[in-house]
Amino acid sequence: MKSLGMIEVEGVAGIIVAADAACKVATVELAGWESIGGFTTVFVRGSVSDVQIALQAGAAAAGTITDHVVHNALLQPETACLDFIGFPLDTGADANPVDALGLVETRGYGVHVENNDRMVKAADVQLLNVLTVHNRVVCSLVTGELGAVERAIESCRDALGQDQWFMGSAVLSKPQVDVLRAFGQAPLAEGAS
Amino acid sequence: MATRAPISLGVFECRGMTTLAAALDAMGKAADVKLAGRHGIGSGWLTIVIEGATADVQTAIEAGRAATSGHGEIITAAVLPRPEAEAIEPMPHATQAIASGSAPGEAVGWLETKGVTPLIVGVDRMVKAADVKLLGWTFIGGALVHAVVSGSVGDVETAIAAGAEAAAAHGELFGHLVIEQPEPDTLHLLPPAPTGQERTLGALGLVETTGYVGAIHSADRMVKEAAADIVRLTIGSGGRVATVASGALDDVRAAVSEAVSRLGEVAEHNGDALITNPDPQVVAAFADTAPAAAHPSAPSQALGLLETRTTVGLVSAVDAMLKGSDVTYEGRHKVGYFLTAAVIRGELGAVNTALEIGARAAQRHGELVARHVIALPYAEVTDRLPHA
Repeated sequence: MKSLGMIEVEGVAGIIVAADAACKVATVELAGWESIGGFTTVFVRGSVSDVQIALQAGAAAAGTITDHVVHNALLQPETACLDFIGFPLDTGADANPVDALGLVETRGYGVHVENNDRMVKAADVQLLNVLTVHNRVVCSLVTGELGAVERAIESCRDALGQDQWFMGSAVLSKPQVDVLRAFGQAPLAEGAS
Repeated sequence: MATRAPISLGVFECRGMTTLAAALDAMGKAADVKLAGRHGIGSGWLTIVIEGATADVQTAIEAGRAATSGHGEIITAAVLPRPEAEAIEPMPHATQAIASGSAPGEAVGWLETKGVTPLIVGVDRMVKAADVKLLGWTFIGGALVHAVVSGSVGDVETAIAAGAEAAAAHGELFGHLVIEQPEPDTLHLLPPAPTGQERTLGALGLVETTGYVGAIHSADRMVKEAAADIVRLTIGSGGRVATVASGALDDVRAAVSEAVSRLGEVAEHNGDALITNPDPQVVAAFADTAPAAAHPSAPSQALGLLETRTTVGLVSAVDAMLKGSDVTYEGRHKVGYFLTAAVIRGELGAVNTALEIGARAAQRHGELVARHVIALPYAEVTDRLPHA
């Protein structure tokens, strides 16, 4: 049985960044993710050594946008452990490769309505998804050419950087297609409506 | 999806449903605007998006602000002139259908509390105090819950005043509101209607705690102490879980008192109440028997419970427990407020060993919140547990 690696952060942008870094640095597959409260966890699977390398790279990447990062690897996980992957990766889900993925995370939803309009007006980017996890965390995902995504995210940072509810932003160049599959469609958070 | 391009959008986000309802109703009365979507993101933060001509949207947002200033927490109130449709249409608020509103003809009243215990007590008082109909209730995150009644203006005013007073006496009253002639759009904020059967019961007992483990502990103590029936665990948001029991008054009183006195062993005690002769509307809304869940296991097996504040901690604990002791994994459950719990089964000694191992693993990779073993669980409790 393959080893199971887990990285947990506050918010959801951190695990998107972690998942992309983990899958780029080692031969691991993205198994899915889970959300509790305002914490989310990404799960990767692979050989023991690949998972170790992936976890280190993923945790370091997540640490660039969030303080709270916990990770662990289970060498030969019991089958029950896979039950905790609330949103398993749908490997058949539609996803086209994109040049770049931009992430903006804040507490609050209303600000994203304004902000997504601002990003689309500022640069040639497409809104891929708006993820609502728990505890007021909302993350918007935009795609496009790298330069355009950078301009769009820059426009957000100018507008929101000093806002008390702003949590972080990131630009991923050539994100893994499985990352787009896992986070490109919104699972509605329970208890959030 | 909008059939015509909206000229402008208004965005209003606040904490709590009474504030939101007051704002939306004021918007509909002040200007020609239409509700285009709503979305909640937990902790009681709720957003509505309205559409209309720019001047109307501006007037409406100002009216919403004015109606709630001083008694509500506004997060965002903004006007977006000529937004890009491609930026808005894929967003969650715009992808959920808004049904066309119906003319109510009656007044509506909102009661909002922190925790479900004061809400149930408040609703019981409302429907007993005046001729009102309970339209529904629901959680909106952050332990906030709201209920709505309808009737004549006088009845709704009497009911809300009595309900607010009763709720405040049993916990935290968060808000209350009477709208004499609600706008059709305001009725989109109504919670889902009760689906249970209207029945008469001797008494209803409520014990509210934070976390799944505490709630199961309460249910176990209640059925063992007295001839009370566990009706359900009402799991809301913000980690709050209310254990609801019914039976004869003396039995329910003894059950609640036993559960409360032992709760400190495993979890936080957030509230309790005893309702004599609950109104049939309250029974239909809050005390409908939970469907039996099948957990095939030998009745003699002990039940082990572990609750943490991180997924990594809990998964690590489950892996260690299954490797280190002869127990089986039965399921998991999340109750919000960062809490996630796992349930295991086995012989008492094996479950104790497993929890010891699991607690260490959980502490190493996160925060352990609760661990508990029930040596002899009763089927009437385990059959009502919602974990998969």
